[in-house]
Amino acid sequence: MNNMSITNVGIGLRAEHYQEIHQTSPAIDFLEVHSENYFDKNSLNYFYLQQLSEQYPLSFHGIGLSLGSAEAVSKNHLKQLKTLVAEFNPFLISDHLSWSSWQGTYFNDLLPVPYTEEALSRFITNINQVQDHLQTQIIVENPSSYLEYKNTDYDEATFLNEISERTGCGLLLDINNVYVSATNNNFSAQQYLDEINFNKVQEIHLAGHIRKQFAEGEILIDTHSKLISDPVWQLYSANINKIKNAVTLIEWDAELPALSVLLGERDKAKQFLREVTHD
Amino acid sequence: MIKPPNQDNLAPSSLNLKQLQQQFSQSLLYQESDIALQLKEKQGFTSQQLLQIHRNNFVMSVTESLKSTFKYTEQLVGADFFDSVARQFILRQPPAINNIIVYGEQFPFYLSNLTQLADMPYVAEMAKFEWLYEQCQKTVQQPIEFDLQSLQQVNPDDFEYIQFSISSHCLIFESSQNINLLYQMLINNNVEATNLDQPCYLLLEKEPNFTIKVTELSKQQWQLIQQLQQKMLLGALQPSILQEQLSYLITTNLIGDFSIVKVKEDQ
Repeated sequence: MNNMSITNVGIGLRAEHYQEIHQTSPAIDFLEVHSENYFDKNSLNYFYLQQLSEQYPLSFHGIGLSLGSAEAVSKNHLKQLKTLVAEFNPFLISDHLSWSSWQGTYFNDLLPVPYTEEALSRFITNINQVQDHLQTQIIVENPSSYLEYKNTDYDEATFLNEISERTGCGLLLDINNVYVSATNNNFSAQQYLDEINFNKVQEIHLAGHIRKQFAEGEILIDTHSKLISDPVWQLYSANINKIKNAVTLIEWDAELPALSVLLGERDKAKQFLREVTHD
Repeated sequence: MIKPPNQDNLAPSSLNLKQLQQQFSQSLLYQESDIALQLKEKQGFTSQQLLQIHRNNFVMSVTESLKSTFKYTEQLVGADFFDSVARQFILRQPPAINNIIVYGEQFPFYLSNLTQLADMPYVAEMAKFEWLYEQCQKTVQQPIEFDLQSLQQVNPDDFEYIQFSISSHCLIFESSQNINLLYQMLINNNVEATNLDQPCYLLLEKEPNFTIKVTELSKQQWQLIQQLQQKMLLGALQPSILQEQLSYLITTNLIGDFSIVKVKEDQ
């Protein structure tokens, strides 16, 4: 991971903050971008990324590979990603344990994969296709989930560990997603974190969610639109000593606040890390 | 840990991955689907309610993308109407490429066919303009090094074979509605009742700082640029228009280059 260590905490780069970051050059360990937003070399996004890449290490976070689809990964998408990777040399490339497209329709959402033997086999094939094409390792993120399939062969943590074991890919552990899924699907977030193979975790995501009230009860929605919740900070803190070789990222995508708010969350994460590493 | 099968919670007929994703996709598009049978019951919630979270994520996230491209169109019709029309459009013509940033080309045409907007043709025209505006931002910024001296040295016998190239960062727009006036009113936040039923010809030029310069064209200028974009040779262009407009195109750097194109006649 280049010169990155567990004490490094980055933020997600969003267009609203381009100019401020470029002009004020705040101390940030790394910036993470949604790869698809930078596929077009002639776009304003790409122009800013070129400038910011001179100041900051980059990680690429994709939402379009649709690794869980029962069909091969789009060659066109892969080609564009490879070109972008060659240009910017990110220290991490990630996507999700989910599917988002099916037979020519793209749903722009991270849809749940059934944790079956068949889905595992397909997921492994797709990851191998991506890693072979990019000639580098990728890391895979656990999703937020709102529903569960009846027929499954694995729990999610085991499914992720198997994928990592069989493909050599790394894991991106989103602690907010673990909390959201555990609350919605009534399982123990801590037990999930006990099962995850932290040796494979190369990045931790922290983000905010909302609580949506229905007449029937409450569901947590992973919106990336709020401050990181106390229970998520508690999970981060309680498991921080398991982190071997992972950086941390503050994610915020909707209702974007001032850059200073993101940096405040970054500082909070760094404080937790300092307590463990005694830096 | 590998889970033991839970006999009480098994789906009545298990689908393979392709079937499951087919059924899930149909459900997201509000088409007939049996996917709910594959989902665990959650206390208090029906499977359809849980699926609705993903339907909402899909429609709302794609709507946000359309709003980002068509922000002035949204201003013209209001957020509620825009949301409603966007939803219909998304479900009928969902994104086809795994990159939401390139979605929306057909939206203006969808708007132009809506009966609710039949008395407001400027809405769909504004959407066409906004789509073109966004495409212009993604054009290749071409350095202008038009070699006037080389043009002067062309053998007069070859004049008819000259093919001018319009700079790649220049796009043209035509409408039966005065979209430039409407656009100016919208960006200046000064929309007034006015007659927009007038033709409009515009040039959109990408500046080095990624802003877009919008300039009004005459109909003749627009026609000439269109013909040049279609790679028509000088000999096929109307001499009177050429005489009047060519110097304008050269001095305003719209012409980036030229070449002599002689097509061999069939033997």
